[in-house]
Amino acid sequence: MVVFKQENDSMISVNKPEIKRALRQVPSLIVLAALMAIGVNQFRPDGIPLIGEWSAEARFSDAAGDSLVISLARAQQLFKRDTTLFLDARPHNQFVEGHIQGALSLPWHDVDAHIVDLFDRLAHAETIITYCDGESCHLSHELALFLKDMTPADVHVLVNGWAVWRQAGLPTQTGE
Amino acid sequence: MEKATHPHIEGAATHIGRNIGMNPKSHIDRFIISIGLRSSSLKRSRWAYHILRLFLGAIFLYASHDKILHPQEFAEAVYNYQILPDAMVNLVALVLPWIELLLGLCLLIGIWMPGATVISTGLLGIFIGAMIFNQVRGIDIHCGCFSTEGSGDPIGMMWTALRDMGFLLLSVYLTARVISQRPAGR
Repeated sequence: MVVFKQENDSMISVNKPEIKRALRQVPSLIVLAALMAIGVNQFRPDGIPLIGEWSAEARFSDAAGDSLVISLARAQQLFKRDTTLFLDARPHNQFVEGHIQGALSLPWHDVDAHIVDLFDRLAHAETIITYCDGESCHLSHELALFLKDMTPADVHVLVNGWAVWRQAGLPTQTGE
Repeated sequence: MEKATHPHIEGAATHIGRNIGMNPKSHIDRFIISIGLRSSSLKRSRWAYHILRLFLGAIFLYASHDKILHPQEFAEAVYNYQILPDAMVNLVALVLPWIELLLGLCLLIGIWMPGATVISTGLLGIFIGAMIFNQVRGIDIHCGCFSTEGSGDPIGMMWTALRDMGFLLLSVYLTARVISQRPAGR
């Protein structure tokens, strides 16, 4: 009976050599992966810097590396001009729930369907300011890059636009 | 080797052997009985172990390839989680897919199983934790799990978290199999 109990215990007990192996293998695998990752990254043409630049200016830049970011103060000045067009890059239902006053809806996910209706307005704008919601939201950036190729207008991104505009108590509206 | 790995089977084989009139000291008789024992439930359980190991290995291998091919896009996905300090984003985005690749290979080939299963469980735990953390914070992200493309709809995120929890359960089972003394056929 005692023997049986011992056997039974040994069936469910932890195997110490296996734990020791795990403790050795976990760091080894991570170090090996790191060496391979960094090694391959050095030699590939589309490698990325080991320490990236993730400030808004760097993230929201065009192909030439120039920042598209516009400050809230500057956006507010341009807001008063008729030649400035605000474009909301969020999904249309979020636009309906609330948006910057006078802004037009151009959801990035559905840009092809909506852009035809806006050709006229886009052609007459001198400045276009795109925005979406959230510090990391990339919709407005994608939209800005897309428009920069299409229109002669000055295209900018108001980072985290919907949130900062609202927090500053600037004019908003709801509906279509 | 077999004796050392599966002492309880050897013990049981000896015990049964005596009862049915076989010679417990005969290596051949003990071998025959132990094969008979293993061929039943243990065999099934060993099959399950190997199938799950191959499945999880394939999942990790598949998950790694797109991230390795598109480092910039994956770095953006990591940045979007807004959990790591900016200086760590690229480093993690570069190394993580290679860990997944090595893990996948270890699981598929069946080598370095203790290390591979422990990392797999740890990684899946971290992924799920990060997803739930951001869901609770209300940060709109896409997970960048299998591809660097993706949309940030919340239903998709819940499904992803549930799916990863399934993978985590498999991984915990494999880790327990490898770390415990249960015959795993590793």
